This record gives sequence, structure tokens and C-alpha cells, in this order.
Amino acid sequence: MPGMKIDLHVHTRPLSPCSNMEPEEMIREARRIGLDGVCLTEHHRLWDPREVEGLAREGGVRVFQGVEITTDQGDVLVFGLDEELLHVVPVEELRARVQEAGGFMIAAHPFRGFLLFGVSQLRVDVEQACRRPIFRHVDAVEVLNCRLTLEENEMARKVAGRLGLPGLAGSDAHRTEEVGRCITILQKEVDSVEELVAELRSGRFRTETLR
Amino acid sequence: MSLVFQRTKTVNVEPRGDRELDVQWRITDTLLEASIWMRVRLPDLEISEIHVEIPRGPHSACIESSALADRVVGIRIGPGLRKIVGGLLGGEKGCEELAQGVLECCNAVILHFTVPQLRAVETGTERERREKLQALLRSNPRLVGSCIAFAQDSPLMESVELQGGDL
Amino acid sequence: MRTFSRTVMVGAEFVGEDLVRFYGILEDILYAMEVRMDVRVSDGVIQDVEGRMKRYTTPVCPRAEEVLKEAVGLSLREEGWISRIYRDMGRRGCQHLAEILIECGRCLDVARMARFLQKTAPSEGSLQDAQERLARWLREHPEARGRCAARR
Repeated sequence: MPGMKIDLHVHTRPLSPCSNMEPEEMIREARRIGLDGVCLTEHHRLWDPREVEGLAREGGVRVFQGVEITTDQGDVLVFGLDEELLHVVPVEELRARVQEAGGFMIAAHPFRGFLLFGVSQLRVDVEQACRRPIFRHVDAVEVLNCRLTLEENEMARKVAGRLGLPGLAGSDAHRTEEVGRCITILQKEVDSVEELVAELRSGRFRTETLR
Repeated sequence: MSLVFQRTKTVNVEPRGDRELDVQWRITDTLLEASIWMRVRLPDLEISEIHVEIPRGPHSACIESSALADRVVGIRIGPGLRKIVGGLLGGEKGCEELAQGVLECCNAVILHFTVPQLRAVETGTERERREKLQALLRSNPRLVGSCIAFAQDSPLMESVELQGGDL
Repeated sequence: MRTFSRTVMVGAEFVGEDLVRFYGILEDILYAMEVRMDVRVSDGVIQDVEGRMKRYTTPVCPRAEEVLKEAVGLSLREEGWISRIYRDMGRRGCQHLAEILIECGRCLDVARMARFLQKTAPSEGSLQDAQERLARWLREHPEARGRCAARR
């Protein structure tokens, strides 16, 4: 089934110091593996829109601006917010700002565990997990993230299902080999962040692991 | 030559039934004395209560900072914790030592869950221990690259096949 | 019953007017290790470092002692030095050795303050008096100022 293959969650340096890839490398890789679009979601930092346009023009792949913001209740991917929030914000405050801007919020990797234990060892059940405050303030949940285990992604999928929130995929790539591992396939092509937000709201997408 | 400065930090975790953990943390050094008591709710690892005492400190602002601690009530020990605690308790109006103490309490909670996993690989012959460690790696792929023992070129990684990452 | 317990100890000795030596020890249920580190006071540059693993979980762990030596030349005054140690000595070596090194590094300026108090008025005066003298010392030593409310 055709559609627009997009990686909603990618980090590049230097704006995300934890990343090991340059934006140009990331875009070359996205093109090589057949993605139609990628979203730059740096930690708290926004790109200059002109640079984003330049990257897309030279790379031959559509590039969208997002951001990953740490809130007091966990990390959130945000699309459609033009202001840069450099500090940790309460999730309610972020919600208010994003709503005002007409943006879209996704709970990022909500069940990511630790080096040696996670949701299984903690025996987190779906009912309890649904009560986490973050889910009251987001439009969707990331249910496929390549840095999480099967069980952690599965828990996110169950919680999203139970709460009636859409489940989205993003690789959370920090290295080139991770780009496009988890993708969202939009039914309709989009060319701007506004159109992307509209399609995410519409629910016309599916998720997939690409490699 | 004698020491000019000494610091001792201790942290202890004690379960309270099977639904809560209590954590006690204390720092005593030449200039500062502080303690944190924290209660963590399971299974969500949510900080449900915290109490801080700072009877002695090098600056008056250190002593006053104990009032900030309530800001972490309601947060979960999970991804982004360092940034969240630093954001709530650190910075220009905060206290770095208090933020560090809270992080060390949270780290102790993580280690409470980690100890049984590592203890399980302590027994048996050298070969058996190695096999158990490799099994641990397969079921916990985030260990890969986390330290020298689990680096790609570590002997422990030989014959460990991770199926295309952790998906 | 306690299920986890850890003690970390740091001692600082001034082995010269411009050189401080730290001794750091970590002891918990799983690990026991120690670090000795020499730091030049004037610029915070690590002059020498040595780590020793006494109790650990895998046969590979002691190799991290060599990685720790790569901290020599790093300045504790450099922006982001803690993240750099976690990344370079922790992820590539041992997180616990890195934690001891960081704890020693965090003690650099408080050790200087303790030395100042001992030199100027050993064991006398009230807490308030000591705080006032340290506030004056901080004004004269801007390199020791931090970002927190107390040291800003």
C-alpha cells in the first residue's frame, strides 16, 4: 500500500549533543533507505527554518521541524510550536502553549526502562499505566520506538488503545543505522508541518518497522 | 599530610511492603550536613513523599533550599530524570547538592531492582557465569555499549547475537 | 530489611599550594572501588588519576582502570565536564569509577573553602560567621561561583 514514509523522531548534532550523526548524514541515509520525510526533533532546540529548507533541498527528502521537550512527566514530541523552551516545563503548561499554537503532542517512549529492568520486572499493569498524568495531556502516544524493547513498545500500544489515543512510530535515531527503523506511513503526502499535524490528527496513518 | 576536607555520603533503600520503597540519603562533610528521606510508590516508581533537612551548610541559601524538595513529588523515576530533577531543583534559584542528593536516591532505587539481576549471574563455574551474563545481555539490549564490559569489542560480547537491535 | 546500601567517601589533601589530592572510595552491595586524583587548583586541570577495582561484577570490569587515566588533562572548570566524564570514562570504561571521579571533582571548591576557613580561623566562630567569610571568599574567587542560589 503506497503512502508517505516518515520518521517522526530523529536527533542530530550539534543541537542534540547526545546524537552521533550530522544532519546531512541523516538525510543521506533517509534517502538511501527510501524514506519520503524525516522530522528533526532535537532536545528542546529548534532549527532555523531556512536551514531546514536548505537540508531538504539538498537532500531530496522532505524535512519537518519538531522538538522533543522534557516535561515533569516525561518526554514529549511536539509539532507546530515555534517557540524554543530551553528548560523542563510542567506538562500542563506545555499543553496550554501547544494548544494555543495549534500544535500536536506525542508522549515519547513512555515506558522506556533501565539497563537491567523495565515494565515486566516492575509488573506495571495497563490499568495503572493508563492513569499516568502525561496521557491526559497528549494527542498521541509513540508506540514504536527503536530504542525500546518489544515489551515496552507493547505496553505503549496497549495503553494507547485503552485510552483511545492514536499510536505513532518514530525511530528516536541517534546514529545513522537507526534512521527509519520505526516509521509512520501517512496515507496522504504532506509538505509542511501544518499539513503533517492535520494528517496526524486525522488518524490516516499506520506504523511499521522498516529494518 | 592531613586531610583538609572530608565527605561521606550514604544511601539506603528499604522496601515497605510490596507497594513502596523508602530511601534514606545523608551527606556529611566539613561544611555541609543534609539528609533526604523519600518514599517511592511502586510499580510506577513515583516519588510520593520527600522530606529534607539541612542543619548545616556553607551558605545560608543551602539551608533554605530544603523547602524546594516538594517540587519533585509526583515525578517518576524514569527517562529524562537527570534533566527533570536538575530543572526542578537546580539552576539559579535551586541547590545543586539537593538535586544531586535526590538523583542519588533515585539511582539507589534503580540499583534496588538491578542487584537481584546481577546476583543471579554470580554463581556457577566461570563458563556458566559467562553464559549467564551473555543471556542477560540478550534480554537487556540497552546494556550494549553502556560500559567497557558490554562494549562491542568486549570478550563478553563474543557469540552474543542481538537480533537487529532491540525491537 | 535494606535491599541496597552505598557509601561514598572523599578526602582532600593539599599536597602543594596549587595541587590538591583527592581520595575517593565507593562501597556498595555489588561494587568496591577507589580513585586517587591530583588536580591543579589554579585551573582545575586533572594532573594524575588512578583507579582501583576491588569488587566488581564481570571479569572485564578492571580494564576500566586504564580508561580512567584518559581524564588527565581535563579541566574541572570546563563547561560540561561532568557529562564528558560520564560519556568518556563512564560509557567507555566504568560508570562507578566515573561517579567517584565526579564526586571528587565536585569537592574541588568546597575543599578550597574548607582550607580557607581553617587557615583564617580554625575551629572558631559561629555558623553565620563562617558563612559571611565564605561569601567574601566567593566574591574574591569568581572561578568558584556556580549556578545555584548559594554560589551565584
